[in-house]
Amino acid sequence: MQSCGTEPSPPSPLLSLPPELHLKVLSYLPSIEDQVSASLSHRIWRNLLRDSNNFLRLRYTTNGLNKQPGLHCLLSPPHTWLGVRTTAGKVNSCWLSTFDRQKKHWLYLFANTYRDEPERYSDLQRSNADLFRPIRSVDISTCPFLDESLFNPHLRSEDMQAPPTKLTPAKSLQPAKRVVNWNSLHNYRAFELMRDEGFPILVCWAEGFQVERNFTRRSVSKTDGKGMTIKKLLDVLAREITDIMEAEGIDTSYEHSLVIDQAIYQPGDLRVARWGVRATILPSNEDERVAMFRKLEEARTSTAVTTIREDSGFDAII
Amino acid sequence: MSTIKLLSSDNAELAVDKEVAERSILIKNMLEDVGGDMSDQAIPIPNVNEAVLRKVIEWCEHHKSDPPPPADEDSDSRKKSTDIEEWDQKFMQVDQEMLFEIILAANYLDIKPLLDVGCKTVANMIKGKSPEEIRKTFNIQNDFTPEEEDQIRRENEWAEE
Repeated sequence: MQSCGTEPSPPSPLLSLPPELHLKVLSYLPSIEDQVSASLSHRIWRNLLRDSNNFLRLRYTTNGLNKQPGLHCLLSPPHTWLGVRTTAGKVNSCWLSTFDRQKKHWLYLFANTYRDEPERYSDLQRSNADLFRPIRSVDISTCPFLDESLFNPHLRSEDMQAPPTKLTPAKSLQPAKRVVNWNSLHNYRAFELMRDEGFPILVCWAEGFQVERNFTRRSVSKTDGKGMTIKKLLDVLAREITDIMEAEGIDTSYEHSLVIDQAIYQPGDLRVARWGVRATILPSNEDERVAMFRKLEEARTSTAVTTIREDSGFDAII
Repeated sequence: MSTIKLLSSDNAELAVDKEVAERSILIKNMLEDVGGDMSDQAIPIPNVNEAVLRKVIEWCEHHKSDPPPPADEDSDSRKKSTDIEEWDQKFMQVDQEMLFEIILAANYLDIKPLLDVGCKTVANMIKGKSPEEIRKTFNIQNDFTPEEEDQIRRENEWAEE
């Protein structure tokens, strides 16, 4: 950018490091967003991150509170969201948005306020508009991690039994005995089911990020779970969502954005929680935003509304 | 306390306390191997120039009484911290050329705690940045062409199963 080829800038001293020292530097960057950025910035890092099994392992979740173990971190990071831009059933680009961790907690506050005290909602939203802007959004359309399996291909027992990052007081008071970890067993079963039988996709309308309705759900039909890559999942999502949007009278020849993450669709403690993948459709213009908001209003006031918790449709996969 | 002499790649002779120089496992092993007194003969350090060697010695002086590093702290890479103590942070406020030369020297001389500090410093320069910001920070060129991207992606897709 600064020189137009007339005077090539000297090679960065960074490039003089041998591979093992590059690996050492990268080993201090275990988070998915740093791995993504590093992999997209230079060939050396991209190849090292893509080909090293140690780094691959770090791109999958371990056992933890509200976490499906063995799922690719692009879908389940603590404070990032995977986004897809799609037109007429085709994926145009993918990006990864990073939020301040605290801001994600705010999002739950917003959702709860919307549900419990709707009259306070607009005030809260107005006074905190900047909370919904990501710190950073990176186009990851060419990131090699998109071609990785949705589920950890080398899931090990340690990954299942890693302790949760935060223990509730009750759990932390339990004596540290060597006992069978029922949560791990349960999660392992959930993992196997998700991988081998398919999993539900929740599609949500969103007014901003704050509220959502479980609009419909589809399972990725008896997927070839092991061969399902993130990219393939996004292709399926883009196609399915086009049908849904067209049924709702939305013009899919406009580019729409989807936000993809893992969802707990049956809240509760780890023994009863179930996981799926959630795609949230963001409106592409003000008219759609208003229309979506009206749908949400109707859904909220309707007695026929089904909440995620009460819906038993997902039991089909268990 | 005995003193030894180190000879940098650009032929500068530096006198160092033996205890300080032995922060380098390479030099320590070397001294053990010869078994005796090296006070009249300079140890050649052919990969490190005077400026870098002086920096490395400065670090070793400050850390000469540190306890030996734990044998293996790499066991869980998810928990790796990039915290750096204050003195080391100041020490690492050098231009990038020097930073990477210190890392290479620490690697060559086998001074693991210094190598860790250097790599953490680089990691902190990457952390929380976008790919463009990283390239700008290190003055590296985007070496991916779109054709290449497509090629790699196709290869990955068909490589499965």
